[in-house]
Amino acid sequence: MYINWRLREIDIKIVYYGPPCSGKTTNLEQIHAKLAGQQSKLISLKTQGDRTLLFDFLPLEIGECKGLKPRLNLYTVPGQSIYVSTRRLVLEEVDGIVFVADSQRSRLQENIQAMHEMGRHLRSFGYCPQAIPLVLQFNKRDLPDLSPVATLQQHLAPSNDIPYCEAVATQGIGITATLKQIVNLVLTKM
Amino acid sequence: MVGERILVVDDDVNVAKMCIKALRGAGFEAERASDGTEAIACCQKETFDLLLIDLKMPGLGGLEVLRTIKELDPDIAAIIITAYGTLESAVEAMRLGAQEYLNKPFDGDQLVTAVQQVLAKKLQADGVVRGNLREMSLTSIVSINCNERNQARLRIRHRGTEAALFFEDGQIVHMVLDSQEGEDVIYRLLSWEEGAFELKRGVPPPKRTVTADWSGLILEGLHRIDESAADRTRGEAEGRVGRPILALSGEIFEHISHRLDRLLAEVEGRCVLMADRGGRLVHWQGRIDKSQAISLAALVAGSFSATAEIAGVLRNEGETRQFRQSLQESEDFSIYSVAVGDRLILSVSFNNNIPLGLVRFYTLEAAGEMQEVLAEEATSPLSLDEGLRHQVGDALDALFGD
Ligand SMILES: Nc1nc2c(ncn2[C@@H]2O[C@H](COP(=O)(O)OP(=O)(O)O)[C@@H](O)[C@H]2O)c(=O)[nH]1
Ligand SMILES: [Mg+2]
Repeated sequence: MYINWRLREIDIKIVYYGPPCSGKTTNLEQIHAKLAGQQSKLISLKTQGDRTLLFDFLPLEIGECKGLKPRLNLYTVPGQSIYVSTRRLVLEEVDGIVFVADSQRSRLQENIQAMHEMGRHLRSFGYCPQAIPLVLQFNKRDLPDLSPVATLQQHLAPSNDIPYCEAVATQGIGITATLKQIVNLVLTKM
Repeated sequence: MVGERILVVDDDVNVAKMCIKALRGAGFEAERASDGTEAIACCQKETFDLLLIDLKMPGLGGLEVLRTIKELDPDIAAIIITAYGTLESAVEAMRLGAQEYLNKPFDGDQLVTAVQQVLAKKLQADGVVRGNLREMSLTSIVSINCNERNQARLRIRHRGTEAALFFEDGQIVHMVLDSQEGEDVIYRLLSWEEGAFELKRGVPPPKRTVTADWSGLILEGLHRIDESAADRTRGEAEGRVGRPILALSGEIFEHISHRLDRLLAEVEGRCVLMADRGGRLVHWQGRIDKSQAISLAALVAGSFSATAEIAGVLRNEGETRQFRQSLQESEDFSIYSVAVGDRLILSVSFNNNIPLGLVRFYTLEAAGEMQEVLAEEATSPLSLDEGLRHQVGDALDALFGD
């Protein structure tokens, strides 16, 4: 978190983490689409030849609140790359994490692996993973053959008090609820 | 793995000694046979990855030895040593399956280069993949091989110990680590965050010690690791976020703003900006608007961290190096970035007709001054209004029309 007392800006970094193709980019695209009229730009930093993407980035200004101007910096990690380091670097200086899980039963293990990897990266920066505000998003609830929410919670939530949202990112369902949850949590834990 | 086995066959003691010294120095295991008969006996007893053989030897000639050994072990690679460029025998040797030849006299470096090239080609042809767990995690390697139903052997070296996993029919069928065998090996392996590995296709398992389903094993393993990591850190977790909040007082901010302005003039830059390592814009000066500056901060920090990440990957054992600078060049302008303390980055975008040395000088000077100023600033205690959270919530509602 960064606060500029002169400009009264407060700057929060939120990272959407998760296994490949769980819907992280779709989350940012949906938020972007709902902002019609705002000047925010969704940036995708890609390496040549596409696919191995460094990150998606969406800055979001929320106007004045209690004399401060909060700015959200939303990032996604690249899912596709099998290379670990590209996912690690996006977590630098993170204030809150949305873990986007793919609810399909067949993807349970990939979710667990991604969660595990995330903990490892956070520890490598000297962060304590349990201390970073986290919201779970169980995405793709529109598809058949899903893991029940209780199963996802049991396997993915590091502790019982981790909030979660069900979502259908492609239809914009649960997207803003997730964002509000994580922002709320970041500001509570501060 | 590192340490492929090479058999050096030469009647000339000095040449053989030089070869063995150079090969061992490069991390290979090298042994000598002093004539053809001994070489054949060696290959009957043990397997070698590569044969280095002198064509001209008393007794059994090199070509004959090569032919016999190739019959014993068709997979063995071979490099021949020729004394005075007898090209015909060299060509004949390659027909028999040698990959390369070296003309005497040659030195250790030439030898090692030739051996490395030949072995690398052999690996490719044998379907061998090498890497480090730092770049590809064990869980990825296991899922790929089980999902593709490969028959393969995975060997991993980690701090002096070596483990082997065997895959067949979409499962892990055998695991061994030191004297331990079977399923429980996975729990130790999953905790390895680095280690050189070698994956070789088509190697059948020597035995079967694992019956559990691979994905269940991995899940249970990851679960155990997460639990123990959580136990270790639970105590310190209470109420602490990742990094302390970076808060700049109005005074410090003014200072940074002026210093950026001066730097911009000194380097006749297009723009200069300060960001944190996570990509947050702290401030900027120059010919870009705010939203451009915000994007630029995210991009510059992303590529700066990527540079640091490269240093991590290239890091030698026990030596941690961080890049403190990075340079991005385009056709007409470049971006030069340096670290300011542990958390901030100072970036300068400048036209290519300005010498980099000049830019480097002024930027480092500015970074040094800013670091001093920031170091004096005690982290200001934070008292954010309680109501901020609610107002931000309301603002988000309004923004998204909920
Ligand atoms: N059916 C369905 N598909 C989704 C949902 N969210 C994302 N997808 C699809 O999943 C694929 C991967 O999404 P993307 O956002 O690129 O995943 P990322 O790799 O996590 O960034 C795309 O084809 C999306 O259209 C969802 O809620 N339901
Ligand atoms: Mg994506």
